[in-house]
Amino acid sequence: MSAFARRLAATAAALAVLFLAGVQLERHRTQFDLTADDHLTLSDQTRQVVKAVHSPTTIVVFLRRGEAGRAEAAALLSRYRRLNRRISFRVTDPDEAPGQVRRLNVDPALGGVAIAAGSRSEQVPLASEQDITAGLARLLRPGDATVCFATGHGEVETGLETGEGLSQAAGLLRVNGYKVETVDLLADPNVPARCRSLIVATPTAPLGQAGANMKAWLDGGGRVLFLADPVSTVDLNEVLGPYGLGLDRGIVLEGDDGSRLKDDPITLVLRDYRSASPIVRRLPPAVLPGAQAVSQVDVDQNATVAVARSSAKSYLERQPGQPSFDPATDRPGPLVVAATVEQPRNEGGRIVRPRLAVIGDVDFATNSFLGEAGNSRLFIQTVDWLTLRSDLVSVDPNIPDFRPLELTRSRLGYARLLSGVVVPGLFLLAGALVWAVRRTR
Amino acid sequence: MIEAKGLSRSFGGREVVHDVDFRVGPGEVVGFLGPNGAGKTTTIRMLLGLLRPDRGSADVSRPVGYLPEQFAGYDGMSVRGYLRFMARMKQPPSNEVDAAMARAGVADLARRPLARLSKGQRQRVGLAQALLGSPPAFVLDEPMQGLDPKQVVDARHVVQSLAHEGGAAVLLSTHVLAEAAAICDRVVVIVKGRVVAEERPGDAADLEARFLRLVGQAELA
Amino acid sequence: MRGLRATRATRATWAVVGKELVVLWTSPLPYVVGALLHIVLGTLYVNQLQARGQALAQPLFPLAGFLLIALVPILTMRTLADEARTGSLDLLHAVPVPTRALVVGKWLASWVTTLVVLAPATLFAVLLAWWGNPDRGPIIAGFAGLALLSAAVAGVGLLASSLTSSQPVAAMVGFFVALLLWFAHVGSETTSAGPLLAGFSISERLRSFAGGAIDSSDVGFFVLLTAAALVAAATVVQGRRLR
Repeated sequence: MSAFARRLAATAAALAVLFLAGVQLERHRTQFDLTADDHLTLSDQTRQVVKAVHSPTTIVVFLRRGEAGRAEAAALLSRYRRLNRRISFRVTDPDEAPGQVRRLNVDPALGGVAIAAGSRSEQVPLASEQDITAGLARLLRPGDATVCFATGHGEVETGLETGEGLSQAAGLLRVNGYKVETVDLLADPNVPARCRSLIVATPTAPLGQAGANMKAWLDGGGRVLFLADPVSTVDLNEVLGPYGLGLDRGIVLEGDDGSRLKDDPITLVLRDYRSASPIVRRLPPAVLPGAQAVSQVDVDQNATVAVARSSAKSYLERQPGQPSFDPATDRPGPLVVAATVEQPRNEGGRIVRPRLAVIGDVDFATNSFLGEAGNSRLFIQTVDWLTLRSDLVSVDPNIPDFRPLELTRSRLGYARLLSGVVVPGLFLLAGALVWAVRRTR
Repeated sequence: MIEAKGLSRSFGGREVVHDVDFRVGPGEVVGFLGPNGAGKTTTIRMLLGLLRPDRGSADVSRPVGYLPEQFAGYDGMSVRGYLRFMARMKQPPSNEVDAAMARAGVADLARRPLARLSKGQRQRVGLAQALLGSPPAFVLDEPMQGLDPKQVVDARHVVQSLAHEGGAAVLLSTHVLAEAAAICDRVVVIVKGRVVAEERPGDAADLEARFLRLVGQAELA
Repeated sequence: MRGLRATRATRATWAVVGKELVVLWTSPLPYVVGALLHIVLGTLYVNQLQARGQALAQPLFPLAGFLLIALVPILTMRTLADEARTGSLDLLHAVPVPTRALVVGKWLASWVTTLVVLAPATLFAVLLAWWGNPDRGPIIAGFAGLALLSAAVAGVGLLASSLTSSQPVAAMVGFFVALLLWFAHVGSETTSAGPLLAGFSISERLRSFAGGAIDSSDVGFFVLLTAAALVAAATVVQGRRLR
C-alpha cells in the first residue's frame, strides 16, 4: 500500500468520522433561544404534552405549494421533533396526496393538519403551536375517556334521532375518541367514577339529590357541561352559584341583523367570542336557536370566563309573550350566552381542577342544528376542554413582539446612502489607497 | 550532501528518468547538464521530494535551498515581506533576511512589491530565498536566467562561495555550458533520462565538444 | 518530539495566515468583493425593511448568506490554484511546510478576510437599534450563523481551489458546490433521502440562526463541514504534490 493510498484511506476514515459526528449532533441537539420573547421555544405546556408522546406519531401539514407558511410550519414542527424523536412530520400539498387527505379525514379544500398515531388521528385547523399541541393532547387522551349524559330528570336524550334529539352529538363524540354513556341520576344520584365529564342537557324536572351529588362530584374535580334552555324551568343555580355562574330566566332577543338569522330575533348567530378560551378559538359563527343568558356572579377568586356574547343590540326578554324591551325588568345586551369556570384547588397536596361550562341553549347541539356553521365545533371543543387532563389545551405560545420601524423618507435615504454609496465607496477607496502606496515603492 | 540512488520515473508509460545515480558531496558544486527534455527537472523534483520516484531514492540534507527554474513568489508582497515569510517557514526559522538580501544583491529592493520586479531582480529574490537558513544543500535550477552579465558574475561568486567557503553541496542545473565550465567542480550529463557522463568540466570549449559528442552518441543509441 | 512538531506546525500556520492576508489585501479582490456585497445587500435589505415596516434583522441573513456563497469562492479561488500554477507551492513543499499548516493557514486567512468584508453589515444592526427596538437575539445569532457559514464556504472554496490550477474554474466549482449545499433541502419532502439531504442545507441552517436560535447541531454542522472540506483539501494538496 503506497503512502498516498494510506493517506486516502485515512482521509476517507476522517470524513466518515466527521459524518457520524454530525449524525450524533443531530440526535442530541441543544438549542439556545436568543430571542427576547423566547418565541423559538415551545411553551411549557407543549413540552409537557410532547414528553408524554410514547408511540410513533406523525404530523402531516396540508399546505399547497406556494402557500405561505410552509417553511414556518416545518420550522415549528422540527421543534416538536427535537423534543421527542417519536414525532415525525411532513408538509404535504393536499393536491398531490389525495389518498392521504381522505385517510386522515382532512377537508381537501381547507387543508389543515392531521396528527396520527397508530390507527387514530386528530385534525386541527392550523399549523400553530396551540392547535398542534391541542391535537397531540387529544391524541394522548386515554382511550377510555367517557362522557356521561345525565338522564332521569327529563333531559334531552342521546338516543333520540329526531330533530330535537342528541344522537348526532353523541355520535360526534364517539368519532372523536370518546366513549359515550348515559347515567340515570334518578335511579342512582351518584355520578359514576368512570365519567370524565358529565353533560346535563336541559333537565325538565328538579334535580333533587342528584343536584347535590353533582355539586359534590364537581367539587372533587368533576367536569360538567350544562346545556340550559329558555324552555326549562329547573333551577340549576344550586350547582352553578358556588362557581360564580348563574342562569338568567328569559330569552335573548337579538336586534343586530349580523348576529341573528334573518328576521329571527330568537336565533342568535354568535360572532362575539371575546375570550382566548380554547372552546371558541378559531370557531366559525355558531347558531343558537333560542338562548338563555348566563350571568356571572362576583364570587371571590372565581375564574369565570365569558366565552360568547350576543350583540349590544340584544336584550334579555323576561316575558316572551310581550316582546318589547322593558328597562324595569329586561336586561340590555350584550349578554353572555356561554361561560366557563375552572377553580383549581390544592387538596392535601393534590391539585383538583373542577371545570364547569354553561351554554344558554341546548338546541344548537341537537340533530336539527348540530350541522350548522360552528355548532359541532363549539360542542366538541367544549367537551374537549372539559375532559382533557390539566390545562393542556390552553397552550399559551411564546409569540414575538411587534417591533415597529418607522422608515421615514430621510431615514430611507440615509440607509440607502450608507449601504449603497458610503460603505462600497470606502472599500474602493481603501483598495485605491493600497494600490497607490504600492506604486510608490 | 545530495544523492540520487537509482532514481527512475515514468509518465504515461514513457520512462523519463532511468536509473539516475550521482552524488554531490559537501563543498562541491556539481553541474547538471542536459538538453531540453532530458529529465533534469524531473530528477530535481524527485530529489526535493516534490515527485515520487517509481524506483530508487533521494537523499538530500535538509533544509535544502531550492531555486526553481521559474521562480515565483507572491505578487502582492514586498521583497522583505516575502523573505521574512520564507524565513519563518524554514526549519529552524532564520533571521538572516537582510544578510540574504545583501548577498543576492536585492537589499535596495526591500520594500518593492514582487509584482514590480524585473525578471533578473525576481531571480535574485529567488536566490536570496534559497540562501535563507544557511542550508547544507542547494538545488539551483537555471539560477542565472534573466541576469545581466554583471549580475551573472556576482551570482557565480555567490554560488561558488556557498560550496567552497560554506561547505554546502550545490547542484546546479544549466544548459549554458560556459557557466558550468566556469563554476562547477564536476558535471553530470543527462540525456534521454540517463546519466551518460560524470566528469570534470575542463575548459569551456573542451566541455562543449565533449557534451555534443555525448549527446550525439546517446541520441543515436 | 510530538509537542515540538505541533508548535512548528502552529508557527507555520500563523506565518501562512499573515502571508495570505498580505497577498489577499494587496490584490483588488477583497475591495471589489466588499463593494459589490454591500451594494447588493444594502439595496435588497433596505427594500425588505421598507416592505415590512418592522425593526427586523432576520431578512438580512439569508440575503447576506446567498451573496457570501457567491463571493467567498472568489476570495478563495486564488489560494491554492494560483500557487500551483506559478510554482510557489513547490518552494513551500521543498522546505517542506506541513500540508496541514498550509491548508489551515490559507483557510483561516480567507475566513478572516470574509469576516472583515462582511463586517460593515453590522451597521444595519446599529441603524435598527437607533431607529427602532430590534430583538438583539436574532441579530447576534444571525451574525454568528453568517460567520460559521463563511467558515464553511471558505473551506469549500479552498477545496475547489486545491483541485485546479485555474482561478476561474476554482471560483465556479466553489460556487457550484456551495449552491448545491444552499439548495440541498429543496424537494426533500418528496424523496426518501430527503431528510438526510435537508440536513446538508446551509440555507436551512442559516435560517435557524437568523430566527435567533443557536442550535448545537447547526453549529456542529458548519464546524464539521469546514473540517471535512479542509481534510479533503489537505489530501488533494498532498496528492498533487506526490504524484
